Amino acid sequence: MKLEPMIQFRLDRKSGVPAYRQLVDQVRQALRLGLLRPGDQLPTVRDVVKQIAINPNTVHRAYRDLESQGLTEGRPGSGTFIKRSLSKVPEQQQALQRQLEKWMRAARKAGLGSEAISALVAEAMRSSEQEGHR
Amino acid sequence: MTAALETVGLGRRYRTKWALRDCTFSVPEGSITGIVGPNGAGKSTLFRLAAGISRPTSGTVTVFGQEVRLNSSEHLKRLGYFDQLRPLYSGFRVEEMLTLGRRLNSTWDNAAAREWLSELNIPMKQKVGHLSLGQQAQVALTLCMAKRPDLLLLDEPVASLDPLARHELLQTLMGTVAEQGTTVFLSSHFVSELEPVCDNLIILSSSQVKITGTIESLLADHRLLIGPDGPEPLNGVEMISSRKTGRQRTLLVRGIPPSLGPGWQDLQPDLNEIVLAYLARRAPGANHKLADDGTSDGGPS
Amino acid sequence: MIWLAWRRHRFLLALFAGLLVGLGVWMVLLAHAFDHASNVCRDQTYQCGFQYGVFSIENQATAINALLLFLPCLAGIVFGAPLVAGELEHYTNRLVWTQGISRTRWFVTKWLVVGLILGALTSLLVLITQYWSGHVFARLPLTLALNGRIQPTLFAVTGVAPVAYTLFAFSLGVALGAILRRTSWAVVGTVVGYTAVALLMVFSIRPSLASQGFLSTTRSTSVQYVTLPRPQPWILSYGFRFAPGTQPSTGASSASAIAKRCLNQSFTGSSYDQCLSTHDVQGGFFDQSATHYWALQWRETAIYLLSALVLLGMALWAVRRWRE
Repeated sequence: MKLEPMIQFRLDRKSGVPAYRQLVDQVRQALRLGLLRPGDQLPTVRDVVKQIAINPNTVHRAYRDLESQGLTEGRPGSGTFIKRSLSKVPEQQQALQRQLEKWMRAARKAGLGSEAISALVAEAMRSSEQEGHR
Repeated sequence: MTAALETVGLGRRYRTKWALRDCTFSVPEGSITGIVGPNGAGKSTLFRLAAGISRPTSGTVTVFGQEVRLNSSEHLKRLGYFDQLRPLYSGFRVEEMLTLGRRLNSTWDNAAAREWLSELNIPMKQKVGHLSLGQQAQVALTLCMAKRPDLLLLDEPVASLDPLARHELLQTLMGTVAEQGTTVFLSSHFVSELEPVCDNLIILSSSQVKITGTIESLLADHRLLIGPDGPEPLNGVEMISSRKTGRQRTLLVRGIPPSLGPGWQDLQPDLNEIVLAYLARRAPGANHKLADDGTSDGGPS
Repeated sequence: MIWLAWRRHRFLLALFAGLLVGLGVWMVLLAHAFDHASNVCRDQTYQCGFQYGVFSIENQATAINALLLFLPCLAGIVFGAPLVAGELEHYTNRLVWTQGISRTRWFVTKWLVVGLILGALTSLLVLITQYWSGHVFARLPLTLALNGRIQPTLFAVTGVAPVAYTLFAFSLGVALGAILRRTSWAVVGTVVGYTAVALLMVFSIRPSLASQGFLSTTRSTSVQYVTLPRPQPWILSYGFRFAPGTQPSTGASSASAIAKRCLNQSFTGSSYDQCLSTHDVQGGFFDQSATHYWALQWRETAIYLLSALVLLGMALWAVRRWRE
């Protein structure tokens, strides 16, 4: 029985980031956004490799990394499954995301371009880091 | 761990010209190793020597510890060979090519072979001569893989294939490797083709091995230094290539560069840049000697 | 591997079989036509014969004979030359030599499958040829010279020798293809080689494969003639020998030398015949008796088959030695 793949991997060959790290990052991103939830099954190494034609060792390594980070667990005979989530408070995160989108619409209305918005966000992030928030 | 494929001082001479010379490397079992080099570098000669259809002039080549001989069929049981020319019998139907494989090999997974080909929509009853280039390559690859070899020797498997056919072939290959743990040794002109699929890389040029190593270590060991024209900071590093453009010098070095002076940048080269530097390099040692005034020879100007 | 050898050559083998069947049918029809004509024209007068198409039958028989003579060479160039050379030219050797069987097994199986089928087809054809030649040539009134299977043109297409010729030509083509590595050169080499060997056999070797007979000529007025026994022997050459029972003195010249001297002397008036009989020399035809037919057939077959095996060995050596 073939299950629906819960995540579609994509490799950016020009980014300079090693392939296994890209896979790990994509799983983490999906977890953060709530697209992957505890209990979901990651595609098998074979399926990933058949899809994007990369070295199976790369996928093995990414999965091992995820396992060592405690994010996944391998069940022998079944596959690799998500163990815990990265989005800590999903409702809070969704509310924050809606606020952010509202702000974004206001900024656009005020005539700010993408570069200006990115600069504002980067500045805000920097100052929040300086204040010691994670 | 045994080497799936190992060469020691391997060489092949045709009349007066050496097609391959003093070639020493090993392909670890279970790895995917790529070999890259320009036309005429000796890649195909190397594959034919490993497959046992050519005989070395000097040196040895062993497959899983057994020396490869011209007329023995022992090593063939563990080996699948994909020739650059992808020879097939164009009058045979696809299913007849599979019958050929079944009759000439002691182990043969016909069900898997049919499944691979049907996934790619290659019709069994079609004559091989009427298939597209990409489909013929897939049939040739299927012939290699269906005998469930422990080592796959693939000489330019995706050369002259369109991007879709190339992707499909690599998908099929990687899928099988993921299932079987087959060792793969493949060649290409293009580093970009090999980088996503290979663990290790061998760079071959002018019939000789320039360097081998895992892709990770190759990337980690080399730095790209860009600086002003003048004395070069080369203590403790090996210069691979040097290029001068206007008032700027670009060096590719191997090793950990010392602290650089002002005006120098220390960057991570990508694999393509590393390979090109080695391909352009003439002989190791020729590029090290520097005059005190900082001028040097070697490398493309 | 047997499957592969058959699959690769089945089309050409079928064509060749078809050609042989066509020839066979033609021969059988011709034999029947001749039988019919012979039965009607029992007294075998020429006029009767012509009316019943015996002349045309003879022409056709000559044509068939020529085709049959060429068949072994054809087998050599169609099946032998490309057997190995064709694979090398298309680089398919790189495919079949890297599967799971050795080159020796690949080559020997191919050779055996095609060779045995060719041998079997040729054997069947030879049976029909025996029947055909027995009916058409045995009672031909017009071409007495072709009478008898001991004559070269019929000898080469009857008995067991044609099977050996076919295997030899096939082997020759295979060996030339394996050594020269090009089908076209192997074709030329096979035609030249086979023809050369055939001519050598007819003119030098076969005459010595059994003991030769001698038909001394008798003189009647100014004409020398000889009475040929039936069935007619194969006349080899005209020459001289010492009469049986006489012993030439040691150190004396050969019979031909003496005959030459007698001839020279006869220019000055002395009797040539008397000179010959004085020295116990006879002039006449060396021949192979028709009764030697099977002895010659078997010995010649042995020579051709052994040569085919030698060529097989050479081809195998070339295949094993081949390196890219």
